[in-house]
Amino acid sequence: MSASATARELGWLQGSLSGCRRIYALLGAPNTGKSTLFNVLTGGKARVGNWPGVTVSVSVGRFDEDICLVDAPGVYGLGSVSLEERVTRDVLLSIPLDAVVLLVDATMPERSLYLIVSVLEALEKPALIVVAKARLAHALGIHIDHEGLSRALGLPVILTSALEGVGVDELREVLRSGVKWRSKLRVDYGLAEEYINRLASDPSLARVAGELHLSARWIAAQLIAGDDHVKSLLESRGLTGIVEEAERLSEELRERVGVEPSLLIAQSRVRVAERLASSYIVRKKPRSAPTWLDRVFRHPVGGPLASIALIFSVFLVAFSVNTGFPLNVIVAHWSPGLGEALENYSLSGLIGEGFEYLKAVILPHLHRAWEAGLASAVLDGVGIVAGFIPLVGTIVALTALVEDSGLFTRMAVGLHPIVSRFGLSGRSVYPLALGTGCNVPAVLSTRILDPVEKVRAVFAIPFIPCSARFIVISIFVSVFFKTPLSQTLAATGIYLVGLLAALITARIVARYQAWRYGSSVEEEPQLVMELPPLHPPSGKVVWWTTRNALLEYLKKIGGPILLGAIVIWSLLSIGPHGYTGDPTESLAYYIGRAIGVIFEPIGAKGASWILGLAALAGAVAKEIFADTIAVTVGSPEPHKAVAMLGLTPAQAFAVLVFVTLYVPCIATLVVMINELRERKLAIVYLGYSTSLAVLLMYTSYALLSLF
Amino acid sequence: MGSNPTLAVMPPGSRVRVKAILAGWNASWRLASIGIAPGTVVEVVSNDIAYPWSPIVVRIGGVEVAIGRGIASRIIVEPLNEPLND
Repeated sequence: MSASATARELGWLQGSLSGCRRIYALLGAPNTGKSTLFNVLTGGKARVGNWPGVTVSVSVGRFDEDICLVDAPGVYGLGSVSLEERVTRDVLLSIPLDAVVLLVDATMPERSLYLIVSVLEALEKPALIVVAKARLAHALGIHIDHEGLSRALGLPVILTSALEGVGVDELREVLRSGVKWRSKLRVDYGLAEEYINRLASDPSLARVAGELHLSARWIAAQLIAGDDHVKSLLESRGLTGIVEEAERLSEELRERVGVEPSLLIAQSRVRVAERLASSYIVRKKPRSAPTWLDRVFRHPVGGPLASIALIFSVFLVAFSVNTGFPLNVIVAHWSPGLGEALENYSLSGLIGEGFEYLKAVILPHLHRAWEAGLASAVLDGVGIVAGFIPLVGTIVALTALVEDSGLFTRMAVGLHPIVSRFGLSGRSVYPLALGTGCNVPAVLSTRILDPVEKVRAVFAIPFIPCSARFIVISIFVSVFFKTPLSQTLAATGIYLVGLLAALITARIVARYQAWRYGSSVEEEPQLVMELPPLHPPSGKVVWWTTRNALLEYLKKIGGPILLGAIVIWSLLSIGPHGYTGDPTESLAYYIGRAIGVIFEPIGAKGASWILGLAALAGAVAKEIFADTIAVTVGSPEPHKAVAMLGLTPAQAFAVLVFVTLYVPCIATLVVMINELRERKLAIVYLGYSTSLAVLLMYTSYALLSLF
Repeated sequence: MGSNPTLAVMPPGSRVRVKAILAGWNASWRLASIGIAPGTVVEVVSNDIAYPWSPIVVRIGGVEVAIGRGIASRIIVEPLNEPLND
C-alpha cells in the first residue's frame, strides 16, 4: 500500500527538470490559489506528472526557458498522514531545489502559517514568501503586515494578485536573479526540547540531515512525534539505532508529561503560527454573514438533500450534453422530432456519425476482407476513445466548477453521515458521483482521499453504472419491459443494485483493512474538513483543468482501448481455419460459448453464447456489449438485435445486473492498476466482481421469477 | 470520561479553548495540521445537537472547519466567557 510517489514518477520529474538554470518548488495549503499563480507564472503551459483535476498531481512549468517551477500538491503541513503530504515530501527530498516559494492565501492567511512554520523549520534551503489574492483580501478588510512578517521570518514577502497580474513581474524578476534568503525561524518545543536536542546532536543524524537538506532539529522532532515516514527514511540509511533511541525517548517523554509527544510537537508549531498570525494579521471588517447557499448546505437535513440535488444536476448536464438523455425523452413528450434531433446532435451522436462517415469513405477503398475488417475495428476503437472525449471533458469541467467554487466541500460534509456507515468519508462522495458519468475520471479523482480510504473507493467505483452501461440498460429496458412505469422501475433498480454493490464492497475492503492492518486503520473514517468560502468559480482555472485532463486522457487511455478493440476484432475474425468473416466460426464463438455457460441457469439457453461473446467484448468498453449482439445476430440496429434474444423481463433484468457489475471496462481497469500500483489486486478484483455479478444475477432472476 | 465538556456539546456561538485531544495519531495530526491542538481557541459556528449525524462547524483563524461528531466528542474543551475581540 505504498502511496508515495513512485520511482517512475520521480524519474519523470527529474527528466522534466533537465536544462533548468534554477528550480523552485511552489508550496501552499489547498485552496490558496497556488495553481492559479503557477499557471500565470508559466503561461499555463505545464507538464503534468499525474492526472490533474481534483487530484494529487505534480506539475512542472517554466518561464524564460530555464527558470523551472514545480507545483507540489497543496498541503497543510509536512506530516505523512495524507497522500498529498507524502508526495510533497518526496518531491522536496528528491529534486535539486534552489529554493522553496511559500504561498500565503491573503484571504485566510492564518491557514497558511502552519505550513510555513513546518517547511521553514524542516528544510535547510533558501525560501521566499508570496502572498496570493492580495487585492481580494484588501477588499475583504484583511490586512497583512508584510514588512513585519518579513522581519519575523527573515525572508522577503512579495504581494501578488495573480489573476489581475499584480506583483507577477516582480516575482519573476526575483526568481530570475535567485533566492538566497534563509529563515531564522525556530520553534520552541518546551518540555520536548531536551529530548529533541539530545537526538539532534547525534553526528550521524546530523550527517544524514545535511545530505537531505533537512534540519536535524526537525528530524529529531518528527522522530519524537512518531513520524513513520521519517523513521523509515533513517532506517533505510542505516540509522536504526537512532530510531530505537527516539522511540525510547518518546516513551520517556510521554510518561513524564502525560501527553502524547506528537501532540506536544504539533502544539508547539501551532503556537508559533498563532503568534505570527496575531502579530501581523489584522481583520478590519467582521466576516460577512453566511450566504443563503451556506445556510442551505449547513442544515442537517437540507445539506444532504442539496448535495444529492447537486450531484443529480451535474449528472443531468453531463448526460444531456453527451447523449441527449434525459432531455431527449422529456422533449420528445411534446415534439418527437426535436427529441430525436437532440439525441442525434448530442456531442457523442455527432462524433459517432463522423466515424460512421469516415468508415463509409475509407472502407470501399480496401479490397481485402481482412483489411476492411481491421480498418473498421481500428476506426471503431478510435471512435470509442473520441466518443468519450466530450463526456470526460464535461465531467472534468463540471468538477472543476464545483471544486473551485467551494461547493464540493459542502457536498462532502452533507453526505458524510450516509457514506460513513460504509467505511467511506464525505470526501468519497464526489468520486462516486462522478462514476455515474464515467468510472475513469471517478477512479482518478480518488486521489483526494487518504491512502486507506482511497483503496475502498477505488474498489467501489466500478460498480457504479456509468453512462456507457446506461446505453445497454436503456436498450434492454426499452425492448423487454412494456410500460413506461416498468421501464423506469427496472432502470432505477439496476442503479440501486450498482450503488449497493459499491457501498458493500467499500465496507468489505474496510473490514479487510482493519483485520489486516489492525486498529491503526479506522474502519469508520472521521471527517475533518476545511470549508473555504464559497465564491464564483474562475473560468481560467476551469479551462486549464479541463484541457490538461483531456490531454492526459488521450495519452493514457487511448492506447489500451485501441489495443483492446484490435484484440476483440482478431478473435472475431480468426477461426480454427484462419481468417473468417462469420463470427460463429471464429475463436470468439468458442470463447463466447464457454463464457455463456453462466447465463444458462437463468434459462437463456439459446442466447447464452451470444451473451457470452458480448460479455467478453463488453469488457473492453461496456457500450460494445449491445453492439456485439447486433454484429453477431446480423442486424445493424441494436434494439432489433437485442429483441431477437427473446428474453423474459426477469431474464433481461438479470442480464443487466450482470453487465453492470461483472468487470470494469479496460480503461477503468488500467487506471485502477495505475492508482493502486498493484497488478495482483486487479486480478483479485476481477475474480471478486465477476463472482458478485453472477451471484446477484441469479439472485435477482430467482426473486423476479416469483412474480 | 470526567466532567469535562467536549466540543460535541458546545452550542453555536460559544468560544472554547481545546484542552486535550483523545483521538488516535492520525486524527490528532490531521487536526493539528488544520490548526487545532491543545491550547487553540476555536469558535463554534454551528452545532445541531438534535441531528446526531450532522458535523460541527468551528471557526479557527478565519477559516471554517467541519468536524465529524465522532472526533468532536473526543476533543475536550474549556468554555471561555470573554466576548469576541478580534
